[in-house]
Amino acid sequence: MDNPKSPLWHNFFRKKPQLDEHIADLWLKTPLFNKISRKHCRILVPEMHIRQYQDGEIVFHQGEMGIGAALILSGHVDITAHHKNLARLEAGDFFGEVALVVDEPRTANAIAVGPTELIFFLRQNLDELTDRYPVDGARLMRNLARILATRLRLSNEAIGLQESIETPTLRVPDSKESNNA
Amino acid sequence: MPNWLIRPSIQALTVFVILCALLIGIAWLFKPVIFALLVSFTLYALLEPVGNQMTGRGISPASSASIILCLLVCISAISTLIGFPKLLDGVMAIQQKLTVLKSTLHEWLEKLQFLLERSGIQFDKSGFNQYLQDSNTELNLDVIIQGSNILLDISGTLLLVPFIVFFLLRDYKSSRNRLLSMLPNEYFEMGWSIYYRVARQLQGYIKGVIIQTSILGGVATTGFFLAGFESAIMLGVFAGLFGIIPYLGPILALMPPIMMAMSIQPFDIYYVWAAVTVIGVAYVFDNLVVIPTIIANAVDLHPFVVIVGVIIFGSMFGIVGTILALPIMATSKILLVGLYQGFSQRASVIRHYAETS
Repeated sequence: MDNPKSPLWHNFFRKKPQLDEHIADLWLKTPLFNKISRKHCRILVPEMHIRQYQDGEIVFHQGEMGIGAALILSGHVDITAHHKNLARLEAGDFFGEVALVVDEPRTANAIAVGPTELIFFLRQNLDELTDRYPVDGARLMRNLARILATRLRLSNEAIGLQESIETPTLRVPDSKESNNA
Repeated sequence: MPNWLIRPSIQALTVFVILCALLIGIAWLFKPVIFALLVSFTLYALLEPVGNQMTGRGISPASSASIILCLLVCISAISTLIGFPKLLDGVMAIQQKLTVLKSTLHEWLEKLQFLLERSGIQFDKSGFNQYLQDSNTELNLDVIIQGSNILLDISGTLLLVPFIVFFLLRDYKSSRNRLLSMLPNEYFEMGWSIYYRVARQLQGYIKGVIIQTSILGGVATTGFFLAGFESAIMLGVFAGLFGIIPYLGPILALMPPIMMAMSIQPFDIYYVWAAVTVIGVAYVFDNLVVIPTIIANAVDLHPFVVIVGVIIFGSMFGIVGTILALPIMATSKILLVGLYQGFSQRASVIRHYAETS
C-alpha cells in the first residue's frame, strides 16, 4: 500500500485503481452521471483533476470564469452568494455544473471548510465523453439540462416566495385560485 | 509593492514573458532534435483522435499507441518506397535543367546587352556571367554535400519520429496532467482554460493546414500535368508546401515552375504563362474555397500582423520561421488574452469584495 507520508519512495507511475473505482462510484451516484455506463465513467476518471484545499481556501469566486464541475471527495464546501450562505456540501456532492455548459462567470462562491479534496470534471472531459461515447454524452447533457432546469425552478420559487413576502398585495392569483374564488 | 505592478496587464505580460523564456530555453535544450519533435507533435495532433477512439473501446493507451506506431511505420515505409524514387527523379531532372537554365539566362543577357547598347546605355554583364560560372563549378560539389546532409538529417528524423509519437500517444496526457497539477489552486481553472484554447486552436490549425496543403498540391499537380510540365508531381508538392507560408507562399511557389519553364528548350513563352496560370488558379481556389471553409477559424489575426510576423520570423529563422510564424503568433495571442482576462477578472472580483465588505 502507498504511504502518502513518504513521497521519496512513492511510485509516481503506479496506478491507483482503488481510488479511481471509488471516484467513479461517487460520480455515478450523482444525478449528473445518472444512467451513464460505469465502464465509460471509469475510463474518464484518470483524466479528471484532483485538487486539495485548506480550511477557508476559496475554490472559486463568484464572477470568475469557470471551466468545470467539482465533486467533493472529502471535507466540506460552503456555497455563498451576496454574503449569504446558500448551502454546505459534503463528500459525494457536486457543484459548479453551470460551467460545463456555458463560458460564463461563476454564479456563486465556493469555500472549503476544513481540509477538502475535490475532483474536477472539466468541459474538455465532457467534450471527450461526447466524442468517444455519443450516447453517454447525450445522456449526460440531458442530466445536466434536468439539473439546471430544477435549479431554475427552485430559484423562481424562491424569488416568488420572497416577492410574496415583501409585496403580498401585488401577487397575481393563479388560474386555480381564481376558479376556486 | 507599487500599484502599477499589480495591474492585470503587467501581471499578464510578466507571466507571458516567463513562459516564452521557458519555451525558448526548452527549444534551445532540444535543438538537435527540434525538427523531429515538431514533426512528432504534428503527427500526434493528427493521430490523437484515433488514439482516443481506441482507448474509448477499452484498448489500453500502450496497446493503442503500439498499433498506431505499427500502422505509421508501415505507411511511412510504403510511401517512401513508392514516392522517394519519383522525388529523386524530379530532383535529378531539376539538376539537369539548371545547366540549361543558365545557358538560357546567358543568352538573354547577351540580347539585353545588345538592346541596351543600341539605345546608348552601357551594360556590363561580366559580373553576372562570373557569378553564373562560379555557381556552375561549385554546384556539383555543393549539391552532393548538401544533398547527403539533408538525406542524413531526414533519415535521423524518420527514425526518431515514430518513437516520439509512440511515447506522446501513450504518456502525453498523463504528463500534461501532472505538469498542470502544479498550478496553484487559484490559477488552476485559468491555466486549464488557456491550455485547452491553445491546444484546440493548434490542433485545428495543423489539421487545416495539412488538408489545405494536400488540396493545393493536388490542384497544382493536376494543372501542371495538364499543361504538359515534366515533374508535375514535384512541382505540385512544392506548390502545396509553399501554401503553408501565408501571403508570401504564392510568390515562392511560382519560382520552381518558372525556372522549369525557362529551362525548356527551345524556349516557349507558353510554359511561363502556363506556370503563372496554374499557380494563380490553385492559390485563388485555395484562398476562396479551401481557407475560408477549413482554416478560417483556426487563427484570428490581422493580415498586417501576419505579414510583418512572417517577414520577421523569416529573416530570423529562415524558411522554418515563416512556416512557424502563424501558429506561434496565434498561440501568443491566446496566451496573452487569456492571461489578461484571467488576471482582470480576479482583480475585479477582489475589488468588488473590498468595496462591499
